[in-house]
Amino acid sequence: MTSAPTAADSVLCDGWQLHELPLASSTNLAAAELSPWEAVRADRQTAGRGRFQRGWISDEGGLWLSAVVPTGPNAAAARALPLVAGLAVCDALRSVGLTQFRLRWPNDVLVGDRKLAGLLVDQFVPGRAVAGIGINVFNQPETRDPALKNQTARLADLLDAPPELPRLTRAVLSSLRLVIGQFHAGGFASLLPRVNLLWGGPRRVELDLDGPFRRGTFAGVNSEGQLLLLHGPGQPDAYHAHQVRHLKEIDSL
Amino acid sequence: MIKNLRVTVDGKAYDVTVEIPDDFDTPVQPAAPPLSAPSLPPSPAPPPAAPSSAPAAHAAAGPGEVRSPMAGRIVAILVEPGREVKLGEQLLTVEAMKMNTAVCAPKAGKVAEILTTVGAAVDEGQLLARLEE
Repeated sequence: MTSAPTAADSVLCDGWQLHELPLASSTNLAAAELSPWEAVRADRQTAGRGRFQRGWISDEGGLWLSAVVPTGPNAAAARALPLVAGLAVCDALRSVGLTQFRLRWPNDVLVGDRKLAGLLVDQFVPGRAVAGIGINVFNQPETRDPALKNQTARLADLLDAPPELPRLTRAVLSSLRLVIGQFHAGGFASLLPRVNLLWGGPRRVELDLDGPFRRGTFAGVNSEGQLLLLHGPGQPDAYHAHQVRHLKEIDSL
Repeated sequence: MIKNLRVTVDGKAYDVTVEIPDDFDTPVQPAAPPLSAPSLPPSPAPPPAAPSSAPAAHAAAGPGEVRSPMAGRIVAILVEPGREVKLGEQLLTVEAMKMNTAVCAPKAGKVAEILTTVGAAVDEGQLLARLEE
């Protein structure tokens, strides 16, 4: 049974009201009715979700956290939130000592080619968004789904002193608060140089543009949050996020 | 329910027949705003022009029209034609860049038609569904 977050289960954490639950179907759903700067962490999710309603294995030992943030001055700005939240998670991972990792567009955190963390943002009502963050810490997703063998990474294998969940929760919330504040004050353009440092080296990719496929070299995003693809010398092509159904990495250069 | 009434206007009597629908108990126009409504400042002047980021189609949407708030892909349809929905109830989910945005009922009513499918790419302002009284 999932219990709804209440005032009784909450503690203050770096400017956030954090609700801690033993179990949630999905922390994003548990946070749907909450106000900005409230967050939900659950020890386990029974129906954690990824993109396109895909499942996300959320056993005990991982960080399953959903944070409610104000989306900003207008709907257009809100579209960059997935990139902004990705930056915040990367900042938090760095603050707990992780150095070798990268983002895969738009916001999967990878170590090599293995997935360490994922994000899913839900905008249930205009004006605020729920940033759902999943980070593998001590859990092992492949014990539940053998198909994930060699596909996932976890902090316990990457750091000599992996952070306990309360410390990692605090690191993520604190960096999210900071980055969202910068986003609202300066717009996505002010965060762009930092976001574009997170993609790692140049990489050959294939974009599924909902029918046509386009190959090229991924060149980050522009100040509008559009994906940039280089075909050769000259200016890259820019694609709106909604035009790109999927980005597949072909190989590294 | 049909009623015959006599109405007098300027001293002249008119016999009229009126029909009172069965669901007449819900007034069309509330006499006073509900007490729970937040008190709004007295009718502020409309802004000179809509901000460029605001989808123009929103302003033009009829009361029963459900339009996409953004360009994206339909990832979930939560209702079917014939279903009664409440004001603000979520009808669909549109996704772009791993952000799901709920599309909610602009008014209470019955779902007359759904004009999209799961997986479809939609434009900002595109008509997704229609509600009827």
